[in-house]
Amino acid sequence: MQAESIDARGRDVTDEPDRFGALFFAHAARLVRLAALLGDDDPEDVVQESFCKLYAARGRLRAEDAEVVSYLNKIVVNEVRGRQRRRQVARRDAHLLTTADTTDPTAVHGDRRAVVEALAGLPLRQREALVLRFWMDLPLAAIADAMGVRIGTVKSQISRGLDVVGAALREGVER
Amino acid sequence: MTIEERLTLALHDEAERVDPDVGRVYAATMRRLTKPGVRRTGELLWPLLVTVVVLALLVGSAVILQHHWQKTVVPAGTSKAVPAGTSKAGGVSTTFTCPGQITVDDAGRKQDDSFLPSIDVPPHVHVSQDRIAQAAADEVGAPRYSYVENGDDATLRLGNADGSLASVSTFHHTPAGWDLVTTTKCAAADGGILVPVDDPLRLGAHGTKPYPARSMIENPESAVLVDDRSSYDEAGLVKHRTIWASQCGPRICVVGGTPTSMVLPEIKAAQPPGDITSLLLAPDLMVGRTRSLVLWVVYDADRSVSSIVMRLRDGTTLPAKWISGPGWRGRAYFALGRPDEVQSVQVRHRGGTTTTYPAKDITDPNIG
Repeated sequence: MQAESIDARGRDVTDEPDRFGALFFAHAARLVRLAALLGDDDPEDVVQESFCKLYAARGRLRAEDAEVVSYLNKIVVNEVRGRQRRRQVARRDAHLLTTADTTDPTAVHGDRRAVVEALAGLPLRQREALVLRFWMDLPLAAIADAMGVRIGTVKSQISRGLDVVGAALREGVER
Repeated sequence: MTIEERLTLALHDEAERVDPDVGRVYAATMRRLTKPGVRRTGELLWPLLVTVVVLALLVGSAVILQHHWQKTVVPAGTSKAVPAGTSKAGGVSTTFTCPGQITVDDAGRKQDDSFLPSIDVPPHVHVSQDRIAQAAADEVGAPRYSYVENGDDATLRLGNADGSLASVSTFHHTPAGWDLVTTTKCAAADGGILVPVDDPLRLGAHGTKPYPARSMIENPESAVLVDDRSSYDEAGLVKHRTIWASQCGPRICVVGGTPTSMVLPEIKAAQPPGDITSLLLAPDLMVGRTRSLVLWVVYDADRSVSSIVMRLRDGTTLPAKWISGPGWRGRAYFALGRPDEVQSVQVRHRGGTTTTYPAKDITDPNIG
């Protein structure tokens, strides 16, 4: 049985550890994949750091699930962005996991490689917008919230990113 | 399938390749959480605020007068501490001295939107508006900043260490928060981002002290300086990058960047010229930029090359510079030219033969 716990502001935080663990196991894998798609070379470390930040602000754990998940998305996006800006990663081509796989000749495989290469060359915000939109299937408002920009900016980033990815996919077909 | 559908499938396909061990990640996270210093932000906030108030009183009335007009944002719900900033307030020129500027706004002049600063205050943050402006400056590593509010309008200027203006961003306050109206940042006159120098085609240092080789490359004792020059970063700030070359095994390692951000191609011997232009600029900054210079390298391990020249479209030639350092087996030739002027690179061998490489066919040595 868990003891009741009251924080310095008189709030009941009894259930926070359980909620934290439940959130972790429900969302960690997805967030690791998000960090990887955003181009971080150590996505598991990003997620560890992100959950540490959530824990540091664990007053938010009393919010609705959707709000906490939205907050986690934003933490991961900001964490990846901060790391890339600070380090401006040394290896140009290490942005995404690009393990060569010559055994899969399907069209999807060809698209994946083309998309991975195109994403790696995109400005960070365009990559964020495309991944949040087309992998996480977030609405524009949620993307704007996660990226910390306005919806109009999200639209323009998606449009420009799609132009580049579209060109890469078309080029792949023509080869 | 549409492009959007193909992109969605490809992203899901790529994501499925990442298969984290959530239990292990959870255990690592919990270990990290048990380290000292991880606390509820509310617990951090009050000591921080007390410290800030005490420091403000010590600094004196001048600072208080300077900042008395600042709007303090009172949050709803929990608060978040903002780390101490490193950008210094004030001392930023109000006029540009750089040869060109790039403006981004909502009127369609979005030539380059890599720098869209925000001074909007998230609902969970409890700090002054000036502190948010400082955080925006810190985010891009601006040594100086100035922030001025005038009614519902605000101006954020970022500056270099010498006070020269790097960017100006204007904001307008609405019920939803501070919206970016326009941002203008420094650039080169030709649309590129290399800071102009008197002799751009000369390799070597150009007015800034190169970063030390020992912080950037293996075998620093054999390292030779190739180049050091400055460029405007995504925020218009002047940042310089250093290129060193050293012997690494049977190859030559060429590193370009700063001690915390670098690119390190390895150059094999007896290969066609390799394009290492990206060493002149941060890789992220290369995207969509005008290439005002190209830099090619050839490693002549057995000293069988007598000279390397760039043949220009006007019929003249420009020699490549060779360097060799302590312990090197051979020489590395570096050819620096303008992409619209160079037609080919000619490698002349001691046996009398000459090999010509059309400029358009020279590729990244790590890819080609």
